[in-house]
Amino acid sequence: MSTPVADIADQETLSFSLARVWVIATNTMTEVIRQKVLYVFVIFTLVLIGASSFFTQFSFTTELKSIIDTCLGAIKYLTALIAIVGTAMLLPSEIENRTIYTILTKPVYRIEFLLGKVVGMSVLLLIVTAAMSLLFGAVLFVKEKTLIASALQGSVGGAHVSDQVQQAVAAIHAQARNPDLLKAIALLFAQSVILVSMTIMVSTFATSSLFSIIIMLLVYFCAPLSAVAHEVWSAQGSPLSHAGLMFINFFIPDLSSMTLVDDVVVGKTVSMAFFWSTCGYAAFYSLVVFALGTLIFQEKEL
Amino acid sequence: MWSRYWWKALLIILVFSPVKFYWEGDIRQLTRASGLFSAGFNMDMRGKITQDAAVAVLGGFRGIVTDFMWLDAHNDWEKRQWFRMKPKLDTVVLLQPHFLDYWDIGAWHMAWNISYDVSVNTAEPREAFRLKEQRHWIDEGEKFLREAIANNPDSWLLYFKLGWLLDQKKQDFKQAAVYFRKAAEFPEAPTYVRRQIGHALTKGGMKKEALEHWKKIWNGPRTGENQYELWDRIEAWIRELEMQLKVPFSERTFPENTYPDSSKYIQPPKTPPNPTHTTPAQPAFAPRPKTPKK
Repeated sequence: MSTPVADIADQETLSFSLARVWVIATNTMTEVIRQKVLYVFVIFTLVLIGASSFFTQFSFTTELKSIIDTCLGAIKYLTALIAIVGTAMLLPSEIENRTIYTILTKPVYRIEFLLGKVVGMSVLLLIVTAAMSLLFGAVLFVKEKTLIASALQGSVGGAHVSDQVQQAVAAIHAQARNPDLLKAIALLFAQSVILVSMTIMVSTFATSSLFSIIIMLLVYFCAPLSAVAHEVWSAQGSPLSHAGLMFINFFIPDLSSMTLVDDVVVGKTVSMAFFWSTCGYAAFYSLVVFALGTLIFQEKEL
Repeated sequence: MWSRYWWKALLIILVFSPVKFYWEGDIRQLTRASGLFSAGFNMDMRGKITQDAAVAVLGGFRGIVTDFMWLDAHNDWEKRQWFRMKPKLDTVVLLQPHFLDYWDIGAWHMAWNISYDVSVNTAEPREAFRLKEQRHWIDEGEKFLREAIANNPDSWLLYFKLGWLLDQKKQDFKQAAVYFRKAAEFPEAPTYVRRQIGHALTKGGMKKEALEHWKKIWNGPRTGENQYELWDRIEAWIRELEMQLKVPFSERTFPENTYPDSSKYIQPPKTPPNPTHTTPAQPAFAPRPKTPKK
């Protein structure tokens, strides 16, 4: 039977609140939007996507491919850079400006604070990805119309379009209206969520934002090789070295499965099983890394 | 001394590491099953591209690196620097082996453009050497397409292109028909692919097989894409082959009195020209209207 004092203590225990998380998330979005570096990245990428149609002037027979390569490459790079640089600056700036003390002295759990940061960055990345995808879609649509018009130019007035022209038009449609392009973009967003969670985890013990950025850029460039490395060491070495490498590899996510640009551009079909499995992996890994970051942040002396 | 939080962190790593590896293995299996990521990053690739390009490939700009290398190879083609162009084409297809245009156009450059250019090279007076060079580049084109098929066995286009090369450049009609047949087996292959089988068999002297092929098409379905088939031409080819092979009239596809080699042949009536459809005679050259002098 509980004592009256214990009952009062239970009543005063603060429960986890999604509303508080959302308030911190919206503040995080405002804070990141005010960072000038974000504007530089976004403007650069929008110009790159808009100008991708111009690059096709130099390409021979591969106009649509050139546009898809440039746009998806730009989206991948930009979302990764915003995820890493934007997130790495969040905690150090809070500590430097001492705003973290005013927040954490209020009835807010540290996990809520960190989750708010991750959610805020993820929503912002979702908006940025959607905006870039819309522009990409518009560029692709205009180019598709131009290419079809030029393909049909020779057969105007004919009763039946020749086999070759039909084949060319079908190829243009297949490349420009490929539904797998959306899956590729969704997986690029999943990749950026992983990077946000990892960067927030690194930020919890990093002494400066520069350190977090460098570590995360190294992870980003090593990640495509993790699958190769895994296959090499699984074939050789002792169980002890396997365990050691497994420990190190835990901190390097397999981002190669989220880069479908090269496969989508050549018309490979991305199965739904693969898509959902990869999305699930991204959610799982982000949660685990976030949990680690929260544990480290609980210990941090502010 | 480690706090309970650090122990918890270590526990998370130990518990979730096997889950992470298991999940990654599962994704790898799915990628293999769906034929994705067959062009990973390897040491062979690293040896063929610069360090900057390797960083760009790892950073997600593989497609753009390939596009620029392709452009570079195209520039070499325009400058007729064939031996610079070939390794670039090899690198392009190493980076993106599933983009069919690279294989198709690369092989066309080698077997058609380069082979012709070396055959009329005025800087080389020895005809035998020019012919040897010409054959070398046709062989290179064929090798390139065979490699393309090994990388993309589920594409009708590459089988067709290889058949076309063997037909046009090597006059190996028997093998060409084999590859045209493989291409035509794909349901998405256009109707002109199956017509090439008949032509290759005819050119290769396998007229019986060619006739069988044309008759099979003639008796086949005429719906969907087939309604646009060149039926009048196919009829003419069947008639021609039946006459050349001296097929008995009882076994021929069309009535006996419609064959010119038959004694019962009835000449089709000549249709008089329709005066309403005749176009007025146009001068071969219309003189430019004189501009009045100022």
